[in-house]
Amino acid sequence: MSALIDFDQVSLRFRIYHNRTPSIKETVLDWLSQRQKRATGYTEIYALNQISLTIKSGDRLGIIGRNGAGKSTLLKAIAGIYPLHAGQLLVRGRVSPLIEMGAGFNPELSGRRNIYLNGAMLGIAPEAMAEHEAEIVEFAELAEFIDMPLKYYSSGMYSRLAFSIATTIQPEILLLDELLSTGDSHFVSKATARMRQLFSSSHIVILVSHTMPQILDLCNTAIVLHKGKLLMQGTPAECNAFYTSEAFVN
Amino acid sequence: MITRTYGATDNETWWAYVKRTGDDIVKYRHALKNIVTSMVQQRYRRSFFGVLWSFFNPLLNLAIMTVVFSLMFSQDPLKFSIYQMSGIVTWTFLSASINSGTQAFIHAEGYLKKLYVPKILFPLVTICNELVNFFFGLLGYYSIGLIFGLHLSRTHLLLPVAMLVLAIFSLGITLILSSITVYFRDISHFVQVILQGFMWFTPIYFKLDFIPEASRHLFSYSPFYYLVTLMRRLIYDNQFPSLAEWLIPIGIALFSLILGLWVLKKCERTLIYRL
Repeated sequence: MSALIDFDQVSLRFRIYHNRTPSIKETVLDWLSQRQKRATGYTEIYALNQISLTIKSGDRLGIIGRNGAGKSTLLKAIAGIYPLHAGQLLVRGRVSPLIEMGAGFNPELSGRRNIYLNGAMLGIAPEAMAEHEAEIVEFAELAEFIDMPLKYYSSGMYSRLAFSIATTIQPEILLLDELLSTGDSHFVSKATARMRQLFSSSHIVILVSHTMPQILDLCNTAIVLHKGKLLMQGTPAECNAFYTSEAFVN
Repeated sequence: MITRTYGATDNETWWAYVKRTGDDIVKYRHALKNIVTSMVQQRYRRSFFGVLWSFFNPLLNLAIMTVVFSLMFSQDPLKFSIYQMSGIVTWTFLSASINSGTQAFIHAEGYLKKLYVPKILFPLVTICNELVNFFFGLLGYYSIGLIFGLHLSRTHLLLPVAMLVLAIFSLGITLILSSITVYFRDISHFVQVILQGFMWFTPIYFKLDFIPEASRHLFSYSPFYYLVTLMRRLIYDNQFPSLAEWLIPIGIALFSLILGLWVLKKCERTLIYRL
């Protein structure tokens, strides 16, 4: 059995509540004064709109789209963070999500403790993480800072540690969201090499990036998302051409 | 290879849900341990006196209460103060875990929105963290109590069982309140006031005998009454609780847990969108 992700007519709806912090007090007051309901009013947005897509083992999928196109939401649906509104999604393989910086990190703890915390948050036992520890620290080039609390790390150091953990634990499905943008060029090239290495062991990698050369360079397939809809699926070059074409810009 | 299927509706049976929750807890036990350990370390690292406070705090309390209550009630002041301490240490665990548990999901927003983590982990973190505090509180209770005349007997060996019953009860309540709080953020204000009310309907600072007989039945409506009594039988009265004194708190605890799991199941699919 190999890794597989299958979207079948998947829709995901966000309700933007006009009142972000609803309270009983307001609900009762609204009800009493029969005013327009502040507490329950919302605007609906389809972050994913009837997406059908199959991602097979060996695919390195690049996701292209403007801000708010649903790119991160797609990753979060795969990670199981957001429940679907319609359709069905099948995910086979262990997912290692690198969706936002510092997910599952505690800034008060040392880098070393955070390696174990992050592993535990992905359901990996400390004994298994101990085997990876040396490699993670070495790849992140953080040997001298690893026992320092994470809150003193620079954002580059942060993302190096996060990337290093996510790629060392041998994920079957790796989700990357704009993660390499804060690393220096030395680390970016090192990370790119590591990703190629990961690809060769036939896992699924999904990469969200606004840096088109990165997608052209690393991915073997791509999609274009716009306002939650899947507009195009093809090779990175085709998608890039479509994304920059006048038809799309308008 | 793990396969997960996500659908649009919650068609999970109650039994499958309970089993999945159990599996999740086992799978994420390391995360639970890691988070609780760091919380405890952070609390006690800042001050050298951290742990000592759990000794001095009840000692100072004891001094104050001995003076105050020996004036108010015709009781042996020292013995009565130990009686009160046994109630306070139990009540502190219950109220602290419920009060801070109310915010469990709100405070875990950073984790819940960025990673897939089973939701029940965060109420569990609160309860385990408060259990550690409970342990230190009991340490203070015993060290002071033994100096001022508390006797030990075999009943004290059953303390962990009673603590487990209390923990299950507060976990259930925490699951309910932390879920609802996501939809109504001002729940915590109500919780504080309601707990305050329950505190005076539970014999903590006084004995039930002090209450006029006609109104004593009011206390039987407070679930906290049974939980505190269970603890007190073991750690103060040196008496084995009667069958009813076991079964009622266990029943209350299980009812609260089942209700809590039911509420979480109802909220699980929409909760993340409201954080």
